[in-house]
Amino acid sequence: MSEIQSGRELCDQFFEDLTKKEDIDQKMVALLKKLHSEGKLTGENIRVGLNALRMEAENEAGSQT
Amino acid sequence: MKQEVKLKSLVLEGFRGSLKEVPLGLDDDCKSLVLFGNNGDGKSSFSDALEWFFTDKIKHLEREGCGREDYFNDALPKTKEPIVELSFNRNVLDSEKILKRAGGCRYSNSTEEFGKYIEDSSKEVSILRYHTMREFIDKTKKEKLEDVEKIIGFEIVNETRAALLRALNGLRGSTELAALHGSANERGSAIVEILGTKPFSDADIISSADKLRKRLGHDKSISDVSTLQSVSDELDKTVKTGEKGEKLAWLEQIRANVSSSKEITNFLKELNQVLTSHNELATQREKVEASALGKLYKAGLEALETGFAKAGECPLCKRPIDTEELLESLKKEVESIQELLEERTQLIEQVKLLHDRIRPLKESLSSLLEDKVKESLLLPHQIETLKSWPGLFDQWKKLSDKVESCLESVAFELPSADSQNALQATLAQLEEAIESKKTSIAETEEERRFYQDVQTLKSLRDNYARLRDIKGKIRVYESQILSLENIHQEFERKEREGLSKIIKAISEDVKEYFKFLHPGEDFDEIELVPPTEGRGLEFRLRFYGSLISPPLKVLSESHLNSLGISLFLASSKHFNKTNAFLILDDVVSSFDINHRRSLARLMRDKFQDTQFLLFTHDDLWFDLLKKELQPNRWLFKELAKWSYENGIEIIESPMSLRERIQRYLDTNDISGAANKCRILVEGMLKQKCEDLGVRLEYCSREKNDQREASELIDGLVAYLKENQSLREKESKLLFSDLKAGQLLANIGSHHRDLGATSLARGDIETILTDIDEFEALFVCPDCKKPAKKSYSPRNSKLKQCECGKLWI
Repeated sequence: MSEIQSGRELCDQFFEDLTKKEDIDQKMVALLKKLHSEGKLTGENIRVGLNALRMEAENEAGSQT
Repeated sequence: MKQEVKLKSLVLEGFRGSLKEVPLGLDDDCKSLVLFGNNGDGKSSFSDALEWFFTDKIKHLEREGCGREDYFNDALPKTKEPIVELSFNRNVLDSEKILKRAGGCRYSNSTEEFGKYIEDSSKEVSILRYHTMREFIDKTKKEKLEDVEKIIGFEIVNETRAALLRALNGLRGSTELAALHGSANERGSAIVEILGTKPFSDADIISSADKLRKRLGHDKSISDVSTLQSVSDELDKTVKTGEKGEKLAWLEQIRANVSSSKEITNFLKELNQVLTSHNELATQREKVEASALGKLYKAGLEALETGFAKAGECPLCKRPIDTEELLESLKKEVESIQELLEERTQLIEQVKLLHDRIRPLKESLSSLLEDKVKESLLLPHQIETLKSWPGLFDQWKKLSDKVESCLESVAFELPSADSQNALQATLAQLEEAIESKKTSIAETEEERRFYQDVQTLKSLRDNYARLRDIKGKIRVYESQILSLENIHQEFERKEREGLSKIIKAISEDVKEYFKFLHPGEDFDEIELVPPTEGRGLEFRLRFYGSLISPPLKVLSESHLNSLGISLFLASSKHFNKTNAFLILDDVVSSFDINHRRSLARLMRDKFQDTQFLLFTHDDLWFDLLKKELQPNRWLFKELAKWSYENGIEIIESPMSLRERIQRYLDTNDISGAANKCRILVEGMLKQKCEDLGVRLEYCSREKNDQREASELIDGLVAYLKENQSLREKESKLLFSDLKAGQLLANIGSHHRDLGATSLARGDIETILTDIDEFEALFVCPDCKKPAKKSYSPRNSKLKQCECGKLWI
């Protein structure tokens, strides 16, 4: 019975486990985790968040060159 | 809070059938309860009150078109408001809930802990009613999965999966990414043209640039992008300082503007596509309206879900409607609006990208109409061709602004293919004129080659720098896509794993409980399984060696109800994590006596930590429960006959069925007594038939449980006659045929009239005496136990009592 998780528990654990995966972009994981914890995980919010992450990456790349 | 909350008492006042305050006490140690009441006496008011207390609605009433106005007792003075008061083993959760006449409701407990408790409880399924018991079994596979997902709170999993997929598809189909790929190809083609090789690597570019550098006599070698940049800059500067170089630089600038202007064909193609998609979206009237009504639909959905809207009525247009259906349809509508809005968001993104390209395009093209260009490079007809274009950009800008601002159809006419071809031809001619001019500037072949090499190196530098920049952006995109793909796949795997564990656990428990309810029957491997195709769930079981799905094919009504109860108990065991109480409202109507007993034992043995509130109108079931369940853990109460003046009333010390018959006799209600007598006779006969294994004609499903007393008597008589000689041999404690025959004849002759008012008090008393004597015939005077199959050897024709002295 302890192995059984509700939907919320499953999602919580999923996003928590993602933070331990080195092969997945951790900035994206942080974004998804934050949206999930705030109950705002929608396709549109993810899209906006990813846009911001891309801008950030471009700026970082720009400042390095 | 882990399945620890139990009920200490439930008090209703003015709610549904209750008028005056009706306290249903469950003692300080939160005992389980069996509440007996005839139909219409108000049992369901208690389950309704509990459902409303936790969820703000009463679903089965909503389905019948009843809303909050029907929760008020009609006789309650208009100055008073209905109250449901619950107290728990955890006092901090005690609260009243008042149904406000002005609308809405109010809890007396306003603590954060109580708010959390209500939120958690509202997600649990704690009430099972007879008419909802079979709902799950009868649903489609898809609905079954949806139900299970709802029970286990997997809606959030569905939403999360959908959001991830939507974002992933958005990235994959991004117009910006497509544009980046387009630009990368253009830059790549330009580099290929310079290098003369395809494909090429970064090393190829650097090596080619360094060759050019050597030819140009520059002493600093090119080994990377940075040295390429600096060498090219230096050479460019050197060239520009001379008169010829200045002219060449100007020509090169014009050539670059020509090259940019050539992009106009692609731009127009994309603009046409966006405007067409926009107009398609705008001309789909229902979608446009849905977009405008999105907020209204959401408000309607919220009103229905929170119970503020009147059930059975559309909260918007007030027309009568099935609330459940409306809820579903609104959910779908809101989803479709969401999709529509996302489609529009994509469109706006595309428009913005086009919008950003208008100004540079216009500037490039306009620069070709400067006097110096006209004088030295263009012919009059070429000027005419070019002149018509710059003004069009303003129109396109207005169009894109309009598309961005509102979802209304726009009228547009883009330049024809002929017109575009004429422009491209002019631009090509202009390029040729520039090249020719450049050649004429250089006086010697060596000079011409020098300027050409400087220009090539510059072009290589610019295209390479831009290509690196674009590739960087694409890499970020692709990295996001890859990560999101992995996350989405991982999520789907996690979901499958979680659902599979849940289904397995539920299946195991359903199987255990079902077998407990039907011991010795040849049902096995009962489980919930996903279909071979698509999403869904279905029960499957092994029946006499064959796998059967759905179970409806072979199970009787009673068995299907057992499956419903088993599923309810299994899911409550796994998913009710807050409350340790369950309400079974009249769920055994189609159960035969053995299965009722099994259910009582299942609750007693497998759910020792669960508090049950069991409501029934069945006298025999009530009597049986009193015998089977421990008095120290269970309370037995009864409802008095409901009246408009008094509402629901509780009788704290209910009587047995026999006592109830006696009460009817005492009040001279012969009809009531006769009716209860019939129930008593039928129950007793069914019990004897089952005890002895009397063979009866096969009946399918519920007909098996609704046999009349005459049929049971006939079966019993046949059994007794068939085994008469055997009885003589086996035991001296047998009743005489004469006595049995007289008794059966007596009951047989009376039972047809039972329930009719023509019977006299004496008839009822005679029948009661007969029943006592008849029952005594089957009970051993020594061990006081009846003869029954369970005490007897397997396949024995005669059945013995526990001690073996009585054989029948």
